[in-house]
Amino acid sequence: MNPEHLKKITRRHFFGRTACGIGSVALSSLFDPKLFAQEKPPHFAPKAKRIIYLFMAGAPSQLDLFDFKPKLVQYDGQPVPQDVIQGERFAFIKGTPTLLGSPHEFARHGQSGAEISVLLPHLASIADDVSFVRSLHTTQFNHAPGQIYMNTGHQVIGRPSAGAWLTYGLGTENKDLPGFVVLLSGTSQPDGGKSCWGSGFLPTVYQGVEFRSQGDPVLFLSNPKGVAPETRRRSLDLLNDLNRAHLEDVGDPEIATRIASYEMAYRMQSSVPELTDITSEPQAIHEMYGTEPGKPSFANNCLLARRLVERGVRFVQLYHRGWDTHGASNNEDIVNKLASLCRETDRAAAALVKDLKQRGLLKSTIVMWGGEFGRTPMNENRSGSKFLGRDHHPRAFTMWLAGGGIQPGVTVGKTDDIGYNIAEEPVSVHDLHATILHLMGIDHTKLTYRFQGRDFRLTDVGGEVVKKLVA
Amino acid sequence: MLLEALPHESLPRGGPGRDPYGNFFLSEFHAEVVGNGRAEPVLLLEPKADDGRINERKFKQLWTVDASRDEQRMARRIVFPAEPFGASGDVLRIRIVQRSEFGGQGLGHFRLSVTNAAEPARVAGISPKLRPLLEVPEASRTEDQRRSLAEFYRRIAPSLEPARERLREARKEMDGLGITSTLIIREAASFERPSATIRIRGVFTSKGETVHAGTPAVLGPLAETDMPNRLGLARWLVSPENPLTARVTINRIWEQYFGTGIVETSGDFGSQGHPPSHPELLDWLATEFIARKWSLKEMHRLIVTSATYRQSSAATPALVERDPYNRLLARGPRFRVEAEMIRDLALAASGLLSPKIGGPSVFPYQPEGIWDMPFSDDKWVESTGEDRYRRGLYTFVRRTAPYPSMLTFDAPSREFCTVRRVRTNTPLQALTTLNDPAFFEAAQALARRILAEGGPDDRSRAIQGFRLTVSRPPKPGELDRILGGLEKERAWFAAHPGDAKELGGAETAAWTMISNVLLNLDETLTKE
Repeated sequence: MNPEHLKKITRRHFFGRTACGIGSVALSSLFDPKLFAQEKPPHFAPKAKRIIYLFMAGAPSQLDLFDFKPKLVQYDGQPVPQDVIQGERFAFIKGTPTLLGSPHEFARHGQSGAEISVLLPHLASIADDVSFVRSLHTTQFNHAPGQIYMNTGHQVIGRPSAGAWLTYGLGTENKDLPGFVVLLSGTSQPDGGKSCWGSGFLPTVYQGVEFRSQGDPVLFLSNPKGVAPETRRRSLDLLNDLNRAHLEDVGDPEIATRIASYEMAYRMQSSVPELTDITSEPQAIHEMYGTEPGKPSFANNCLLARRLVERGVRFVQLYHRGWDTHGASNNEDIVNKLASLCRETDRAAAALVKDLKQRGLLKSTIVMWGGEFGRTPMNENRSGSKFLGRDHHPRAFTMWLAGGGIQPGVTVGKTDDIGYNIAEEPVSVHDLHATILHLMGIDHTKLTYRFQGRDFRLTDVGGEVVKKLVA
Repeated sequence: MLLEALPHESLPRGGPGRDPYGNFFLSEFHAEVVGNGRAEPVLLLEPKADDGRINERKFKQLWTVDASRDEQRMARRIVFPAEPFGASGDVLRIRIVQRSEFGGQGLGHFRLSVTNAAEPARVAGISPKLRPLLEVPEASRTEDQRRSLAEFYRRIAPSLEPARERLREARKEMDGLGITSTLIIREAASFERPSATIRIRGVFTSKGETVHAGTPAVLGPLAETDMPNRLGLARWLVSPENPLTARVTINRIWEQYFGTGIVETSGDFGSQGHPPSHPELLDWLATEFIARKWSLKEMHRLIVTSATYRQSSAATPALVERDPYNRLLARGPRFRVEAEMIRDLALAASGLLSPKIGGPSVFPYQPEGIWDMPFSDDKWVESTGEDRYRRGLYTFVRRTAPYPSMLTFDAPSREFCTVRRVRTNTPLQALTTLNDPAFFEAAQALARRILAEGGPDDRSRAIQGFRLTVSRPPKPGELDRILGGLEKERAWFAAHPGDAKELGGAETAAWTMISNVLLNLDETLTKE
């Protein structure tokens, strides 16, 4: 009995009818929630096929990295004008804070002349390959809802993440691997927890699968002690044999799917360790990324991300937690801590872009880097702390993107003289999502799923494609 | 030994440390006594600091001081009590080690002193804020200063020790009573109608209009004689004019038995939901429910004893072709059971299951690192004893880090109210039931159970194992396959004693692998 054939004739379960949410589009015809999501056609010819999202959880300081404000340096230590912060609610700042000029130098790089902080020398070396959005804004000023908003387009947990939506819409190019993989590094998991890569009300087959840096890369991938690969093979042979006999008795095609999924699990037992083992990479690559095999790091994850997209994984998301530089202590200020975070991440992130480019993969892969919100132009000065730091700032922050149909070397948007408000070309989180979906060949208004009586979208009821970003 | 860190005007921001903020980090403190040409280390006891933080875990430094606030720029003391040491004329040698991540964070100005006074650590009990007060002559202390000192003294005064002891005892006794406090909601008597503010698009900072309790207009109002409170709502729910409560409830029960409700969109009976597949049946069941005085038990009995439910779930290709989703119910239901039950099945078949009902949630085996959350030191501490083997529904749920094997089997993370779960079939599920230590432990227990209770020979044991997992005896073909598999396992483990040893000996190992297969049969995981 051919399981592939059976799968086609039986898409049972909820999808048979509820997929009509996406109905008017070609996408629905090939839906199959079983196994890992199968490849499906986009709405129109895509510029990008894969995404690597470097999520800098904790919110990096845009004013010390990308959005240089000479005026802040000039008026450093002066109280912020009252009318600017009238009625504003901050996470920690109390009273009238003072302006804080960046303690770090900036310089212009590449033909695009992008202004980048000295803390990011490797990013500076690829200035002409990347584009900056300096006018991103969000509605949230606390980490967990901020990260959830950035990932799902809504601040309350429960909606599908962008990766889940994309896997739902497009499936994966490699049917032996999940379409959406998550890699973690930094001080801890992101504040939003696993909801950041959850599938919300979409089937769980679309959720991000965490590849862990210690122990089994995928949970329960290894056989228990005493169970050799040969033993596992024999037990699967017996299992499949019994399942097949039962399939003949009861005729439920779902059994054929189960046999196929156990076989795929067996294949993953060898393909995933092969994929996550970076020792086979040449020395030059290790030097480029700054990777040390066996030592979990953001750099290792960047290299893994390349290996994943090479194998057709649709959406790879890296989280690096630790950018929450309030200045309440020595360990989280914008002088020392920010510099050390940049050392941990800059080289590998730039290496990833260069490496994808030299392999011809950058054209079809979007690399994006950013956090859940920005940081204030004012010194937070928590309880009179003398460490320099900035509070959470949802009104304006910066993200960079490269590859996958992104117009290289452009800067979208502009903030005011002190970087408090957006002056030109605001980009909302929904706009960003709409743009990403557009590059992947999806009309964001048509990627819908019916739940609790209405159609839901990643972009909720908003979202405009940012034309300037599209090559 | 007393180490005092002192402010000094030559230091950054007045000290006492050398870092740009005036802080310092002290990592190690060693002392040795040199006499008769021999050096002996002095055994130091737990150090005590008057205010600086001793914090080994987070910063890996023994002592840090936060002098970033001006009012805290004062002398700090740290006392190192020691076991009695040395003799008169010996030399005391002290070594201070200072390490920090960024360098340049050493002590700026300090003083060392030694005393043979008893309980020197009590010196450190006096905080740097109180110390200056002691230097103020008693007569010229202000009322506040006097009160602060008296308050502090009451905590250490020897004459009050019996009273403090009584207090400690009483507190301990109270904790021992195990009184749990439970929050309850009670409607406050008020002349104003209770109200709530709409938060626009769920954003808590953006307020919309104020609304009052009531029922959705489309579903009809409360009775004129009822108040808009809980009693009024209860009466409205079961009033004869409201057909929805019984329909929706019955549909959910039906869904649990058949995998799909008569109304497929069980969470949505509105205009966006699906129409019922059998409208007359739904209405009949709903009216029966009311006629039988809302007895859920009677409705369960009615459904499970029906001819429809008792049909075989076997399907012919023609039937699959005509009705792939079995909406017309020409065959019995067949679907993979829910996440919690996947666990319950394995525990029940293996005999591990604890039948205990109720009580707080439990913490069965979970892989390391799932609960590594920011701003939280919460740890998943595995339950012991029978709490390791409780039913799946007692497993502790944390929305931001759900129990992984349940999530894999489509248990929602409970972020949204989910009436109907989707059902997927993925390789991650296969890996879970094959390899998750919680499931493999069940396979090992099932093997032991088969060997202990399964009768005299392989045949009877295989039949026992099959019955325990799928609730029917195996067909001849199935039995032959299992026995054939068992022989192969025996041969392997006889030739691989290392593997056999890991699994409790060759015979147990062979049956463990057979049990692992039985627990992973499609039929085991499926209700049919």
